[in-house]
Amino acid sequence: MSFHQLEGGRVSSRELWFLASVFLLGSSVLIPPGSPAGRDAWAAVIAGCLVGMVVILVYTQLGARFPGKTFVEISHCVFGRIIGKAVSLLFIWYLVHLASLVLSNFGDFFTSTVYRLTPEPVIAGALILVAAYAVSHGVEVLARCSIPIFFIILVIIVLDTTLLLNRFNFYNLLPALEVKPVVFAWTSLGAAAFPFAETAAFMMIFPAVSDDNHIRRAMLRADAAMGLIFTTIAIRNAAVLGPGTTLYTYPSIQVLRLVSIGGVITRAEVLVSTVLIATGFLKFAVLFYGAAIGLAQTLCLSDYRAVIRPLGAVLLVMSLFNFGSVAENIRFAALIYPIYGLFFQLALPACTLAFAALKARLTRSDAPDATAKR
Amino acid sequence: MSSFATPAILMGFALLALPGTVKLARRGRIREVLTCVILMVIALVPAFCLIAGIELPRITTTIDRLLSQLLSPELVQDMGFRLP
Repeated sequence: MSFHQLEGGRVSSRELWFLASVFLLGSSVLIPPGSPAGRDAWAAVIAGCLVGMVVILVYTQLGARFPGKTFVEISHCVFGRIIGKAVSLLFIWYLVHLASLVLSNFGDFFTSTVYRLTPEPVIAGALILVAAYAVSHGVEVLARCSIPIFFIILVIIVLDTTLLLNRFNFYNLLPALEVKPVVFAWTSLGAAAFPFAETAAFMMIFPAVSDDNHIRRAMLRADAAMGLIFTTIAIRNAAVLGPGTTLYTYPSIQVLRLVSIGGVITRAEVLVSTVLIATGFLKFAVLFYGAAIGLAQTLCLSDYRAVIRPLGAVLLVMSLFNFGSVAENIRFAALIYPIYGLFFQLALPACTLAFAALKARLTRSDAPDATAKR
Repeated sequence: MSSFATPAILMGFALLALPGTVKLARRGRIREVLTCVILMVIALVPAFCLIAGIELPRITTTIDRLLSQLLSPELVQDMGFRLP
């Protein structure tokens, strides 16, 4: 089943930009990229953003080679039926696992900071129900949700940074770039894998974009804009918290706890919760949608909506069986995710692109021989 | 929260898919029904394991253990983590 047989929704490249921007903010609001680099996190974010752009160039090139096709359809075209299905299932596993990780982050954060007495499955379940409703209405709904969410988030980020201006101490950023080169390189790769290159999930949405000549530009612009926002957040956190930035599980929350304007405006950390609810919902919904479409295409189903509810149940179970503790989550994000994530985000699309190019070249070189024989 | 609350919520979620699956079965869509049943079983097994007191391995922790063998011990320590 092609994408357009499963889903009739269309989005513009402008809506794609909004969707990709909110997706990138996702759970990075909680665990800011580049955190292990401490006060040099801003540099790691910039490096990660540049690596993320390379990843975007790779998968948008793949999308341009096969217009109107999702990654599942592309892998079937390039590798054939059996290997193509195996590659598709690998990519779907990544989407499902990433969605469950977003859900785990969401649940862990709310149960440890805001709703301490509420069981995690209730919080995760509520998010799944809302996301499943949005996913069943298609990609257009997700894209249109992203526009107001983007502006609300932008206002909140500007507001909370402004409220902290009196706490800024730029000497906390000095000495700059003192971190070990190996740590800096690994942290930059980590920042590229989480969140910049995670936009590889959009390979399941590209066929819905009406003006497909502008896909690459929209994705690169979203990457650059969010790179700028994450750099600002990294500088803010380091300037306010100083060398202690790396000690906190959620540095952005800790920073906002310090907001106090005349003792009246306080407890601004609720703003992070608001941002997380909005971005977490949209990121989770995009991944959920991608996984549902991918599963429907791989298993030749006539409607992706049939798998939404059972897939939601699987995601809930996976989110509860991901980690033993938040510390394990942070260790995985900092140490292991650069290898694990970049395999699916870069290696898989790059191999598919290389194989497609090789196949096209071989077919072209075979064609003149056939004409000569005739 | 009682020890049965989490499995009950998990089972409730898995069973939410049941009416849709029955509807699909009536229309004769075998592929869709099979996919739904397999996904529901995947969702139900951990719930029964929780009730039976069987400890299941954590997904991401297992991936962490497998892949951390590829990293050099120096990098793990430089990043501020303890060796596994």
